[in-house]
Amino acid sequence: MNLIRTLLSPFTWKLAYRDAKPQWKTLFLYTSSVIAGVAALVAILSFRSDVLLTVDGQSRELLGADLEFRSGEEFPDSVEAFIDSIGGSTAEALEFNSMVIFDDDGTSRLSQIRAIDGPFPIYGTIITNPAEAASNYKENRTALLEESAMNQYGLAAGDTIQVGLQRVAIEGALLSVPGEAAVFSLVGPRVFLHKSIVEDSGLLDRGSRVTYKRYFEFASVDTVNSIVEAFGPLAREHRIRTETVESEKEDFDEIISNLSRFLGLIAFIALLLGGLGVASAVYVYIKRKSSTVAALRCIGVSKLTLVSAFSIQIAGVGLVGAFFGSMIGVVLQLYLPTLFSGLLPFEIIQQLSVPSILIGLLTGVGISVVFSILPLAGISTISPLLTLRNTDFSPLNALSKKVKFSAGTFTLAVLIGVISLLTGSFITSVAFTAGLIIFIILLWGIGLLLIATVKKMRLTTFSYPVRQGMANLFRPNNQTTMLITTLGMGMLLIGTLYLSQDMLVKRIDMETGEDFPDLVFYDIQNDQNDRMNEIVEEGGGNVLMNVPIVSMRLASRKGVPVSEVRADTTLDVRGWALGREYRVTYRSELTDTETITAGEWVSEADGINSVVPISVATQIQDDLQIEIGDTLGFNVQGVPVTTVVRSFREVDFQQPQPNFFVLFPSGVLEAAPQFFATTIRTESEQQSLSIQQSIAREFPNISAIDVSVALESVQEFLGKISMAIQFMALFSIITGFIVLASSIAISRKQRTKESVLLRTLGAEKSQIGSIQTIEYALLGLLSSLAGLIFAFVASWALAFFYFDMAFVPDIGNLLLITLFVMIAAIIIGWSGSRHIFKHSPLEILRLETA
Amino acid sequence: MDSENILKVKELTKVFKSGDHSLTVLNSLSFSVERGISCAIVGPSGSGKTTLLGLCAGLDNPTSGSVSLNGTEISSLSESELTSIRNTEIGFVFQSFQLISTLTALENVMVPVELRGIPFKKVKTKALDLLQSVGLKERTHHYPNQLSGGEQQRVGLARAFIHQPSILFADEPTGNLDDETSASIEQLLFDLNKEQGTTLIIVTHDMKLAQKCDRIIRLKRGTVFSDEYTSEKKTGKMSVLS
Repeated sequence: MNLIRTLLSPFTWKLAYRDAKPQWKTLFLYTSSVIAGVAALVAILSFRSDVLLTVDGQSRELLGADLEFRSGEEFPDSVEAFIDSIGGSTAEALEFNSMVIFDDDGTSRLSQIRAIDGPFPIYGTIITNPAEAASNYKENRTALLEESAMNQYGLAAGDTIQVGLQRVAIEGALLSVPGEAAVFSLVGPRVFLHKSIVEDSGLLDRGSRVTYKRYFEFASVDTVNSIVEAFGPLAREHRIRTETVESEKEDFDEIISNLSRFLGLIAFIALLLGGLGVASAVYVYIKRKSSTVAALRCIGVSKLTLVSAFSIQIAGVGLVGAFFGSMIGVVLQLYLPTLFSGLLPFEIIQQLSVPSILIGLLTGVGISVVFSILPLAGISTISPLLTLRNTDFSPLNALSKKVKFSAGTFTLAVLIGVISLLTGSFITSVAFTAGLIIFIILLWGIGLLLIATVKKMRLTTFSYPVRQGMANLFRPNNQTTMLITTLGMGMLLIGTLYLSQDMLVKRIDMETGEDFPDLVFYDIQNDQNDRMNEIVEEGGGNVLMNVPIVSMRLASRKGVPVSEVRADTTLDVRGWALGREYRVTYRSELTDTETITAGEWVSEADGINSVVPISVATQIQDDLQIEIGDTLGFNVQGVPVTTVVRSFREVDFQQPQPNFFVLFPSGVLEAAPQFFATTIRTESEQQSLSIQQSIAREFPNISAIDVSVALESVQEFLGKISMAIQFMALFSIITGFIVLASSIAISRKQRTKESVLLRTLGAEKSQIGSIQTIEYALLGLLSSLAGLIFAFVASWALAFFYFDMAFVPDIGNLLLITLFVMIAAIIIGWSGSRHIFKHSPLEILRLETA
Repeated sequence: MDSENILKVKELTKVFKSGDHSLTVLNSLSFSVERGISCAIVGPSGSGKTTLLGLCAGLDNPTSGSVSLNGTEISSLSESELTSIRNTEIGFVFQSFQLISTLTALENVMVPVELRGIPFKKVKTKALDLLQSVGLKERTHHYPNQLSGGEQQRVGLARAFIHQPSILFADEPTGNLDDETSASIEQLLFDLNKEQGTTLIIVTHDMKLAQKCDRIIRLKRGTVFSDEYTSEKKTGKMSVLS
């Protein structure tokens, strides 16, 4: 009560104002560390708000309809009957991947085919160039082709492409499709056609993976919901997925919320570092104010009034800093959509998000005050005796352990509370806070170690300016360790992101060894296989693997039909493992990517009518809840086959070759309807292209994956994602630079004093300049090192324990980043120190009487 | 070059302007200081002692008049030339010691010589000798915050003499010290001065210290009120009234 009364007292506010007025710029600088963090937080929260609002307003366009049925098989009669009973579907689509030949030479690429019938999308518009192409292509039986593919292959409207056995003219370039992000074209260019063209193309054969879709338009949401409910049993029986506007929106909301939570956490790191910067600056501020406070205590001002007055000061400038941060965040909000361009399926409608700004303001002020609690509490320990005794006072030393513990606990609680609000999860916030604190402590420790190393390294062989520059890191009231921690954290984030991305790229970047394929062909029919292998060999290629694939579905598990297993709620069998189409191969040997972990591999069986001993991948063992000796019944395209699990295999699915969940021995499936997948190694890109063209010309149904093209697409996708994350991590570095600027401002008088003293003793301006430059460069270097040491350790651990690969970091780029930080530190340091030459050496005498 | 006088002040005037007001701190001062003597500048607060010290040491420029040091008129030199003279010809001892807090006692002593580019190892021995002569042999690797006031001033003395200056300016060298410590510092100051033959100019309020000097120049309201040689060093020169 006393505290509240004092806080509300006009005298307290007057005291706070009068004391702050002559030095408000300095005070503002002390709390400016929170600006970057608040800006990042407001930007990401506003972005999230924009996206959710856009989704809300364009939710129907996301799906393109009110209701969608989706299946991996043609809809059975019972489902067709249901569809008829609800008035039929408004539109339908077939989606699959297939080779498309772009020119007469046979240049081809695996493309995403969308065969449409009806007015799809029902909501939203496909954007094309020319605009009318979107409405004409079905009627004209022409195609819409991804703009990037048209540019890549030099095509224009009117040119033709070959889809399966059909030559189709291009109506226009596809620019955007409602509900689809442009980035997914990296997988393969999208081609929109009328459904009838695909039906005549010969592509919908056995072995093709096709997604069948039906789209519905209804007047009300209630109608949609009642239909979904009524369709439930059929949907489950035939493994048909239903999507409504609401479910699509929910899925999307979850993705965006997860993304913004993740990015928000990175932004929060910047805010937290800003808080540490504030704490350090306020500590020095209070220390310098100790004589003023002692004098005020002498004339009768109470401890509580003084603590309150200074708290008001800190909260006030914290509010100003948070305000500036929020405004910067609002500006950044305009830029964020550019960062995510191509990753979102719509153009974001932007508007000012007042709740986001308020959260930014509150968080900024809160962080400023909360992190200043300890030094502010230290004010209460300043004795009036300090006016008589000139001792070196520390705001923290005199505080009791109880107070320190309470303040620390309160700060932690506030941190966890704020992160809980941001993430929506208490456990996540506790784990994140704990992890962050551990990292900060470790960074602090590394900082101290590096500083101790520098102290030891002040060798006498170095010139005086170098030694003095190094020594300046330890001047009284220095914030060297704080700077290393804040800047270092930024470097840790950026460094880890960069090294991880580099590793991911290297991991998926195939080595150029003889066993690694650069082409993968699939959907090769039985009667095409031999000829295909001939074409490869004629073209100079080397067939690495030629794998037969038989499609089948699970009919029973442990003798129980799949439908009953699905209905049994006591079993924890995953639905996807029960309902999926299994693509199985057969052979008598294991490959290099397979290791038996349990049971025994049986290489041969006694024909399809026997109980066939199979091997199952460990990755699916838990999903099916099976053990050695359990039976699985398969429907091999109408033929029932009983199998028994004789072994489990560990399969390295990351290897670039066909790998299988279920492996049959030889002697069973040789006569079954099958297709082939072939991996090929070529000598050159030209040879690879030539083979692709030859096969595309002769067998347009065979799909090919050019591994290098696929890798480029993955790298491009990774690049987009990592850029967004690195952008947010940059705020931590910016916070570090602000703390550096603040620290230089705090030590301004000290630097002036040192400068005039050295000039009095005969130092040239260039010598003083060298000393300052070396000091700032060292700060930048030590901060980079501290962060990069950690980044190296984290990345090495990732390489060793997760990717199982040698850790070979790109030193060159990391050195460049370090150089950038050093240069930035020098620039910031000098921009805050240029005043030191304005003071005459005469100041040294004035300082004596000051 | 005037071999007899190391410092020559001629009609020295310093006026400080503040808005429409101007304040004449020194008014047409003239005097010379003989080479090798110790000279105290005394006077009440506001008499211009510190301003005079600053002008004589080349830390400031006069409004009019001139200051010559070792035959060179320093009042018209550039900052760079003055810096060089301060580094080679002049030593300073300050009231508040003015040690660099991030350097040890030994490193503080060596700063004036290292600024000339002379390597650490070449000057280390001399610095150690100086510290020993001021009684700080065991404290060479201590930082200023680990030294008492008297010890810090000893380091300051050693620093002032390391480069064998022609002239040494001391601004209230014992102003922050107790009587006992002051006495030892004063003794050291004069002993070192005698040893190296440096001319010593001391600005002080302490008349006991002033009496130990060969000459006392008394200032009053920016002019020389009296200029007398002490009984110990009487050279036959008359005291000069302003």
